[in-house]
Amino acid sequence: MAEVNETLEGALAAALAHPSWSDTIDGVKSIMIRHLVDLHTGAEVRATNFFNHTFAPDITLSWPETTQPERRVFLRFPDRPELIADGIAHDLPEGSVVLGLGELEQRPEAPALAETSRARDTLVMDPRGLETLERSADDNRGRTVVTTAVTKGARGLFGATKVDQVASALSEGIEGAARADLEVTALAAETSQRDFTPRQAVSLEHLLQTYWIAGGASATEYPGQFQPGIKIGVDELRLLLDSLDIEDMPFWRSLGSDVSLETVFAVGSTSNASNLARLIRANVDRFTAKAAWVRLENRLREPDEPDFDWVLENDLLRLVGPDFSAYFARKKKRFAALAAQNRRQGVTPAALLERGQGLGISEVVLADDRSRIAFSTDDITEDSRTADLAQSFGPDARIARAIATLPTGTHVTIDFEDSTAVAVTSSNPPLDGLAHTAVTALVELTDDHATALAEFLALPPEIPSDELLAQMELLQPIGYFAPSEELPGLLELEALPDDDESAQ
Amino acid sequence: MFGEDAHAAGADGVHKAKRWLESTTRIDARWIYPEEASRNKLAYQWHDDSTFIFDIGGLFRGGDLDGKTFAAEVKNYTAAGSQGTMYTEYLARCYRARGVNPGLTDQFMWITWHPFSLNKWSKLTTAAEVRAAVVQHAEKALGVPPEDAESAVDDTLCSQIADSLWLVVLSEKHELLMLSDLDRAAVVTAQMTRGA
Repeated sequence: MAEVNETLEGALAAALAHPSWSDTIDGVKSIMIRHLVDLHTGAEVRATNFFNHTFAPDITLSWPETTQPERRVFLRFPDRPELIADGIAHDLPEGSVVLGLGELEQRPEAPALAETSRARDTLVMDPRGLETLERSADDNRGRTVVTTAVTKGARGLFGATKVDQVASALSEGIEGAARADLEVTALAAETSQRDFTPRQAVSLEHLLQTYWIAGGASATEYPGQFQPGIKIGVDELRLLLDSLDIEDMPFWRSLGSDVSLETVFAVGSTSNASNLARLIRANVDRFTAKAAWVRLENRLREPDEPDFDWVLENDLLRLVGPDFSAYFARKKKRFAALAAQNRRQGVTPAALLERGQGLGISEVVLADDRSRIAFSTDDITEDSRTADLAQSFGPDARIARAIATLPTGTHVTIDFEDSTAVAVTSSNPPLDGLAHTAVTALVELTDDHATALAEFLALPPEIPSDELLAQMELLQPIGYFAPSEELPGLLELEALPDDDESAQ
Repeated sequence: MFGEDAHAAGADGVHKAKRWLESTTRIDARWIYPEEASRNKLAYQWHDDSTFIFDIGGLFRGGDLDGKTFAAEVKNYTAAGSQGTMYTEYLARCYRARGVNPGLTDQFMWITWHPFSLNKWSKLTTAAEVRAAVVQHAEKALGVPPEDAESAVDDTLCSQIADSLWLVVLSEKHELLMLSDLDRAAVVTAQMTRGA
C-alpha cells in the first residue's frame, strides 16, 4: 500500500517489484491513472488491456463532447531512452503521450528524446514531471489552464524542470496578460508556440489574448501571434471564469464593459464560483436585470462562509443571503413556476411600513379575503393614511403588491404573494438597486444583515463608479484629480486649491 | 562479438523481436529483458540456486492461444554461432521454468535471425530433444547427479514442452511484411474497442 508521502517513483518501484505479472500491471496502471485524474483536466481516463505494447496504448485520454482529439498514453520503461525516441519516431501515432516509468529528463539522451518527441507532437513525461505538474495544479496558479494544456497538447520532454518552466511561464503570462504586461505575456506566447502542438498553441494564445483584451489592453498590441476578431463572448467569458483564479477586482471591472448579464446567464455555470462573484461584485452597478424572485430558506453555513454571495445556477443569477436566496433573470416568466409553488399571503402593512422606508414605495395594493384596494401617494411609509387604510381592513389586512422606485428612477412592482420584484420599464435597471429593493422589501432583515447587504451591493473600494469617473473626467483638465499610483486606473480626489494658489 | 557489443546487439535483437511479434497483433510482449523492471518477471532459479532469465515474456491475443503466456529466448545472430549448444540449455530452461511456474510458460519461443543445427533441424522441437537436454543439464534442471538423470526426467513434461516449442527464424525482410501503419492502427483500435 502506498504511503501518503511516497513519491511517484517510489510507488512505481513498489508496484513493479511485485512478482505477479497482472498485479504489477494493475498496480502501475492504477497509479498512473490516479495521477492523470488528479490533474483535473476534464479528461476521461481509461485503461486498455495492453501493457508496454509497441503500438497499442496502455491508457487513453479523451474529452467527450469536445473536438479535442484523443491522446493515447504509452507507458515506457526508462532503460533505453534512445529506443523510446525510436518508437516515437516510427511506431506511435503523432500526438501521443509517453509516460516514463523512471526518470528521463537528466539522462544524456534527453535532448534527442526531447527533439524527436517535439517533432512528432508527442509529450514525454517522467514521474518527476508528472508530480511537478500535479503540484502546479494544487498551488492554484492556473490550476486547470496549465494541467489541461499540458495534458491536451504539450510536446517534448517534460521532466520536473521543464514542467516548472512551462507552468510558470503560462500562469504568470495569463496573469500578466490580464494586466497588459508585455514581457510575461510574450514569454507565455513563445512557450505556447514552442512547447505545445499547433492546435493547443492556438488555444493557449486565444486564452492569453482574451485575458489581454478583458484586461483593457489593445488587441493589436498583443505580443504573440495575433488572432483577429477575438471578442468576449460566451465562450471567452466561460474561459475567463473557469481558468485562473483572479483576485484583481479592476480586471473584472474592465471585463464588465465587454459583457452583460445576458452573457453571464448564457455561461450557465462555472467551475470557479469566486471569479463569478468577483465579476458580479465589480459590475453590480452596470449589470442589469429585469426581475427578481426571493425565496426564504434556512441555509446551513460553514463558519467561514460569508453572509452574502453571488452564484450562477443554470440561467439564473442567485444572490445567496443568510436566510434567503434572491434569483435574478432576464424575464419574470422564468420564475413563474417557482413562484407558483411558493406563494405566500403577502406582507402585513406594519411590516412593510418598517421595511419599506427609503424604498420610494408610491403605491400599494391592500387585500383581505374579501376585497382589494390600491392606494397611491408619494411615499406610503411617510403617509399616515397608509396605516389608517390598513386599519380599516382589520387584522387580516395584507399588502399584496407595491410599486417602489429605484435610485435610477425606475419603477419596480413588488409582488408579495409571488415574492417577485419586476422592473416596470423596457430598459432593465442596474442589479444593485433591484437587488437592494427586492431583498429589503421581501425579506425581514436584521439591522446587521441590512448593513451587510448594503456593503455587499456597493462597489468594492478599489473600483470607482462610472459616475465618479465621469465627474473626474470633467474636472481633470483643470487639475483637481490625478491618477493614483497605488491603484492603477483609479483616480483619487485631491484637495481643492486655495484661491490664492489657483490665481498664481 | 564480445562483451558490450554482444550485449547491445542482444538488447537490440530483443527490441526487434518484440516489435515484430507485436506487429502481428497477436502477441503482447509485455516484459523484455534487459529492461530492469522485467528481471523479476522473467527470471528463474535452477536447482543449484543459479538463475537464468528469458528475454521476453508475454501473452497471446486472439485465436486458440488467446490469453496463453509465453517465454522467449532471442538470438540476434547473423550466423549459426553457438546456438546449438545454447538451444540445448534453453530446452533445459524450459523444462525447469515450466516446473516452477507453469502459469507463465504455456509456450516457449526461440527467435533467431539465423538457423542452426541444420542436420537435426526437424528434431529440435521433439520430446526426445527436450529429454536429452534435461539429462545433459541434470544437476541444474533436475537437481540430481548425472547418473540419476535418466530416471528423474518427467517424460510427460518433456512431451508437453515439445508441443509448446516454437522455432522462429526472422530476417530483416520480415519487417517489410509487417502490417502497414494504417492497417495496424485499425486492428489495434478494434482490439481496444472490444477489450480483446
